[in-house]
This record gives sequence, C-alpha cells and structure tokens, in this order.
Amino acid sequence: MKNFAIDEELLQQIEALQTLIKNNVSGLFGGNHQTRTYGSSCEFSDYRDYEAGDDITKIDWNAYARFDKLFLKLYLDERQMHTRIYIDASRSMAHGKGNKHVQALRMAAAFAYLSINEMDKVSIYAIRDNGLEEVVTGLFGKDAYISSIHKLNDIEFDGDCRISEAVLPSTVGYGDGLSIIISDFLTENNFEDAIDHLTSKKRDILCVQVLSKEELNPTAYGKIHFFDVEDTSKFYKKNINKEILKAYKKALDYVQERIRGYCAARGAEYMLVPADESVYKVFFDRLMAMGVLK
Amino acid sequence: MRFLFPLGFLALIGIPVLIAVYIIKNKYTEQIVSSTYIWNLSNKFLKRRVPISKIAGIISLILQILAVIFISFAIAHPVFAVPSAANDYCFVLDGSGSMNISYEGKTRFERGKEEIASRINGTLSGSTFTLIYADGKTCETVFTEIENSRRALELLNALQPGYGEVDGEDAVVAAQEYFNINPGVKTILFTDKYFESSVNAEVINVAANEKNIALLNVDYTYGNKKLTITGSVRSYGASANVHLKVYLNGSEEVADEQTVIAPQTAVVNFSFKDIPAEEFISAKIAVADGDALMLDNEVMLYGLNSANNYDALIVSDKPTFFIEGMLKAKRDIKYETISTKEYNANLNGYDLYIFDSYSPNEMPSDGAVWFFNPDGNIAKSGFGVQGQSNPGMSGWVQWTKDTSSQVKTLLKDVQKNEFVVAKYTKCGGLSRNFKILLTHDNNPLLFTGTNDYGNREVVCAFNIQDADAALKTDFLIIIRNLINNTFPGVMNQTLYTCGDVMEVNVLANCESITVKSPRGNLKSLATDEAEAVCTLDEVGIYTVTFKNKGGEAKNYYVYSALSENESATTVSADAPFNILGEPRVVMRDGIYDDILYIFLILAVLAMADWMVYCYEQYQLR
Repeated sequence: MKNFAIDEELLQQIEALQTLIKNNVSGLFGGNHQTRTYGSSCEFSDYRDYEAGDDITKIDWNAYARFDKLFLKLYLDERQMHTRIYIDASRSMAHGKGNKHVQALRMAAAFAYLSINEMDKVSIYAIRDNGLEEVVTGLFGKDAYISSIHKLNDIEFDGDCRISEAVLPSTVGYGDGLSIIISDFLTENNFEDAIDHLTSKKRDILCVQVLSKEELNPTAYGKIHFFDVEDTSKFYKKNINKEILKAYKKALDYVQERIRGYCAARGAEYMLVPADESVYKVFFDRLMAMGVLK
Repeated sequence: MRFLFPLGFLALIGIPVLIAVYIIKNKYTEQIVSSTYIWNLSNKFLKRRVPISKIAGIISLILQILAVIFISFAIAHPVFAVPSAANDYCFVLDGSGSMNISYEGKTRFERGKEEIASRINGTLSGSTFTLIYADGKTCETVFTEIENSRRALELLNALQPGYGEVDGEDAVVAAQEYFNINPGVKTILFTDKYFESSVNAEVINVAANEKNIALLNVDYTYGNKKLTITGSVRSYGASANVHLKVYLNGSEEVADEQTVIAPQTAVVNFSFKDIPAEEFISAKIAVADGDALMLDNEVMLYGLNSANNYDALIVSDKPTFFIEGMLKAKRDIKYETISTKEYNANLNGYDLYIFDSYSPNEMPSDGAVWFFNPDGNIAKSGFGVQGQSNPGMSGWVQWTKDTSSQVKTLLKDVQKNEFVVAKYTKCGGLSRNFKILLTHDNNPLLFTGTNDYGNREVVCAFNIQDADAALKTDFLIIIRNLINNTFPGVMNQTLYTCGDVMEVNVLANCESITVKSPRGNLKSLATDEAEAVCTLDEVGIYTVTFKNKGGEAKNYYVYSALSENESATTVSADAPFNILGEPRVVMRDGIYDDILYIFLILAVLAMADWMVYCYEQYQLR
C-alpha cells in the first residue's frame, strides 16, 4: 500500500534550507558542510605565520608587501555528512485513523531530501521489535533519491519498537552528521540508551515525536476498556470522565517533558509533531525556530 | 405495623428489573488504541479519591432501588400502632365578647383556636375530639368524639367569637355531661377568665396582661341646643390616664375632650357638660389611645329624631281652651280650630283630629283621632255610644288595674288619685285592642287603641268641664302620656348593651322595618304588633330602616355596647370550672399512618438521582 507520495513542490522549497550541524568533526571530503577545521574550501578563515614546509601557494603576498612578513591564508574545511533516519515501524504507528506512520514517512522523506540537497549521504532505517531494517543506505544524489525513496512505502508497521536494542548494535558513524529518530515514543521500552549512544558518537540528534490528534486530545468518555494494539495483555479499563481526561493530559505533558529534558541534557533536540500538521510548517516554522535548520 | 395495601409490595419487582437494566446498560466498550501507556500513566495524576467514591458508579442504582422500596411502602401504606398513645379530648372554648381582644395581631379567640389545633395536630390517629363552644348566648357542642382531625380542624376554623357574656356555667354542665359518659376524657378549657384548674379539667388561659380601658354607662341629655354627656371609665389593667374625645354629628372635629385619671379597676365618672349643638343627630365618645379591646373604647349616641312637626285639627263648637293648652304644652304641634259645620271627610292631611262633643259621620282615614265626649256612633271608630250617664258628684272614677306594659307606659308618673266626673257618655262595644284607663261604674271613661283604619285613637267620654279632672295633676300627666303615645317616635332608646332586646315602635303607616347589624346581617322585624323587637347580639352600630307605606324610608341608628362584665377581661370567673367525678384512665392504641414523610423521602431520592445524572453528564462533557 502506498503510504505517501513525494510532494515535489515541497522538495523544491526544502532546497532553500540548510542543516545546522553542531558536531561536524568528521566526515568525508567533498561535502557541503563547513567544519571547524581548516581545509581547502573557498571560504577564507584566518591567517597564520608561515612555517617551513607550508604550501607556498597559500602565502598572502599582499600581506607580505605590507608587513614584510610571510603569512599563510587559512580556509575552512567542508565535509560530507551522513544523515541517519530511524523510523519507528511498530504497530502503534499505523493504528487507527491517526496516520502517524504517514507523517513519519513524510518527515523522513523530507529530511532525506534536505540532506541529499546538501550533498550528504542519507540512510533510512526502520526499527521493528529490536531489529534495525535498512530501507535505504548511503543514498547520495538526487537521482538516487528519486529512484530509492519509494522504498519507504515498503516499510511494514508491525510488532513493537525497542529503539535502544536496535540502535546500539548498529553502525551509527562518528561526528558525521545528524541522527533523526521518528517515533511516537508511547512505550515503556528504553530509548534513552540510544540517545546516549548517539551522543557519545558525536552525532547531532533530533527526536521527532509523532502523535495523532486523538492521542493529543482524546475524546473518549464513558465506560471503556482500552487494549494496547502492540500487546493486548496491556489494557486500561475505566469510566472515563473529565477528571481522568485531565490526568491524561498531565501524563502526556509529563512524557513530553521527560523526553525533552533528557534530550536537552545531552545536546539533542526534541520536537512534537502532530500527525496532521503540514511538513512545510514543521520545516519552515518550527525547525528553523529551533535552530536545527536555517 | 401493618399495611393497608400489602399488594403494593409487588412494586419491589422493579428492583431486579433495575439491576438487570443496570448490568446491561453498564457494559464497558472495548476499544483498541495505539498505546495504553499514557492512559495507565494518567492514574498517577488522578486526585486521590475518597473511599465512598468507589461506589460512585452505582450511586444512581442505589438511589433508584431506594426509591422503588419507598414507593412500595407508600403504596402499601404502612400503619403503625402506638400502644396507649391515644386519648379522648374534650375542648371547651370560650367564645364570649372578651375573647375578641387582640394582642400582638391575634385575638384571644384565635389563640385559643390555635392552641386547640396544636393539640389536635399533636395527637395520633385514634384519638377522639369533642368541642364545646360557649359564647354567652348559646352553649353548643360543635363536634362530638370525632376522630378525623382534619374535619375537626375545619369545624374549629369555622367558629367565630360572639359578644355575649360567659359565666362558664353552661360549659361546665356540658363538659360534665360528657365526662359522666366518658370518665377517661381529658377536658381542657380555653378561656381568658381566671378559672382554677381541677383534677378533671385543665384550664388554658389565653389572656395576657393587656391594657384595657372600658367606657361604661354612657348617657346624654339634649336641650336648649346643648348636649351633656355622662358616663364612666374603668381601667382593667394598670392605672391609666384616659383621654376622652367627643365628636358630634359625624364630624371629625373634636367637639370636646378631657383626660380622666383611672386607677386600676376603679370606676371613674366623667361628664361633658353643655356642649353647644345646633342639632343633635349623633355623638361619638371615644378613648383617644385605643387598647386591645376596641369594642368598649367607643360609644355612639343617637338622637331620638323627635324634631318632627305635627299638624292637628280641632273640631268643636265650644271654647277649646283646655285642648289648646294641652297641645301648646307640646311645642311641636301646630293646630287649627274649625266648627262642626265646617268639618267634612275631605279635610284630611292632619296628623291629629280632635272632635270635641261631636261625632262625625265618617272617620278621617289618616292621622290619629281624639274624641272628647262623643255624642253618637261613628263608623269604624272601634266603639259605640250607648247614651249619657249623670252620676253627679258621686261619679268617682276608678283607675284601671291592668298591669300590661302598654298601660304602664300610659300611666307613667300617674299617682292614681281619684276625681269626679259628673256627666259622661256611656261607651261600649270596644274593639279588643283598646286599653281602658279610667272607668265609672264599669263604663269606660278614658280608653285608647286603634280604629278600623289602623290609626291611634283616644276617647275621653266626658267633657272636661263636667269633671274636676282639669284641676288634677294626674289627669294632666295622663294627657301628656296619651299625646306621647299618639305621636310615638320610631325609637325610644338608642343606646343598648349587647344582649339587650331593642324595641322599635310600629307606627300606623309602617310597611316594613329592617335591622342591619354591625357585621352586616340583615333582619326583617315583624310589624303586626305595636312594638317590634330585635335582640342585639353584636357590638357596634345597628341601622334600623323604617319604611312607610308611601315608600319613604328612614334610617335610625342604635349603638349596642359591650357588656360591662365582658369588658373586664382580667377578672376571675364567678364559678369554678370544676368537673366532678372519679377520673378513669382510658388509653387506647394510637394509629400513625402519615405517609407524607415517605413522599418527602421519595422526592429527596428523585432529586439526588437527578443531581447524580446531571453530574455525570457534566463529567462527560
């Protein structure tokens, strides 16, 4: 079943955006991301005294004429990053009318195109149970993007999602770009270790929590017996009234704050995305406001 | 406890039905959600609930089951028997005039009724009630051994106080009679007199220590355009300065006033002397500062309406000095004298015709008629002439021995001294209505009555010149009395005491007499006697409407004052309220069958259920 389609207009607009990478200490040459190290890009950065053995082609002769001393011109280095996108492929993402999985795929496709546009590599993984399924890996170039992005529709949403168990054994790179985890985070399973692990690998991290409208503002009332779609042994049985709905809101706020606080403590970013919110708004309003994009 | 309609418990079938509906209705809806994580986490954020809230979900069911139970009870109508809780009560209510005294907006009579109603309401079903009511005029048993308290209260509420004077004797007799039949009865007297309670009778005194001043024995004299009013006041409470005011002829201006110091219970006389009054129609004497019993704070006095003028015709061929002098003595009679030849039956329109030594062929059809020494028979005169008698100086007259009230009035102030009639006309064949005042040798000499036209008639069978009567005081007095009898006023008296019998003179041309009481009750008096009577049983102004055959109506006013004894609101009763006999304790089972409380509980349950429903709806909003 086709869960999403490429919105070409959106992709064109995304081309105007640029990712701000904090931990760009590594990566391959030939990329588009400026690093803090000096390299061979066209962008001037600083001067330093000439030392024997330095490339004489980089001596600033104008400065020599003025100061009668040899100065070497330094240029910033530019690297190619590797954006890794992890999609929660549990059953809860695709349950009901919320279309969380559609929003997750749209977000993943948009982030992937943004990286492709910045001449970075992109890998997209689906996390199901404790496994990490590669959807596309090392995607580079728009042609490859166009020919491969449809694979997102092949992701099967089933089972549960144990993020840490899936991410920790995998190759996540080091200091070479952004890791994006897209999930509803409605689980008692551990995801904190995955964030810690990615942090230790000098990866920039963005946690995107996708929630449906019903999950954000439940309208259920009366005597209801809820069963968990991922595990029917988990249930909730109560006469839902105004008090319980208030408590639900508080619990939801608590979960959001817990994730936000955990991420903030580790330099990671957190963002709540309603399933029915437009990707354009997410990218151009919220991510730019957060400083993730510019 | 027993039930009047046990089948009402069939309504309890509703309980299992309710529970079944509740079970069916309250099934949980199963629903699969993407995650129960947040829902389960929300339990930590729920406010701690009180233990009773655990049954919150079934409060509605509990309320409805309770409602069904109480409905069953209400239909089954429980009746509780309370052992030895019922009694027989005999209430004796004083309805005398003093019970009209108002204190703090309620009359003593109303307070007495409230006390009785309270006792009736405070008893259980099974008790019986008897009410004896005494208002001075009557002593009646309003209801006897009635068990229906509602009916008893209805009859009690319909009672009105009277204005009579109650000595309690009749009530004691009635209560004693009932006690003799039922020695277990509880007799309770509600009165404002100081009766002593006895073994068999409880006395509830509804009177309070109120200020009470009464006007007593008010009278008046009017002459020479001056009015003098006398009377007395009495303070039955504490000593008081009594401010009296007089109003004349319906005016609101005070004609005279004075302050009388009235020590406690002492009778103090007062008088208003020579109050200028061009005419005297009415006078009101009032205590300026009214008290609880207003009925004795005001007395109305009315004139006797004696200002009428009368026309008389004297028919005589002789000198009429004596007759003229007689009429002149009464200043409001105008007269003219004609000879016997000038008289004919067409001469009418006079109030009085006097025929001196002349018998007309035809009687005048209007006005009163006097004959002096008639010389022949006259048709429709009511008497016949049988010749002359000449006893000479031996003609000593005899006074009548008739003791009727009418004769007494005619002979008022007469000493009955003898005098001589030397010559007279022998009269006979008198109509029955004639009253003979003087006779000689069994021949009537002076008699009065009414002729066939219904007009008053006086016959003096002798010439004044033929007797030494003119020199006698008695004869002059009797002539005065006869004149007054010839021209009677409608009212002889305008001030009575409540309970008195009012007398109204039935004049010759009277068609009807109606009396309107202070409460507005109309009564038509019989007019076939010379005097109509009416018992005044209310306090206040009575209006007597006198209508003559010409259709003309005229109102006369009479004031009926409260009895002096009833004004004395704090005096002790003369006779003790003592029910004699050996009391017997007769206690019967009382019955409590009031299901009003069940309906009240039902209403509360229904309202509570409704509130629970509303709360749930609000919660689910």
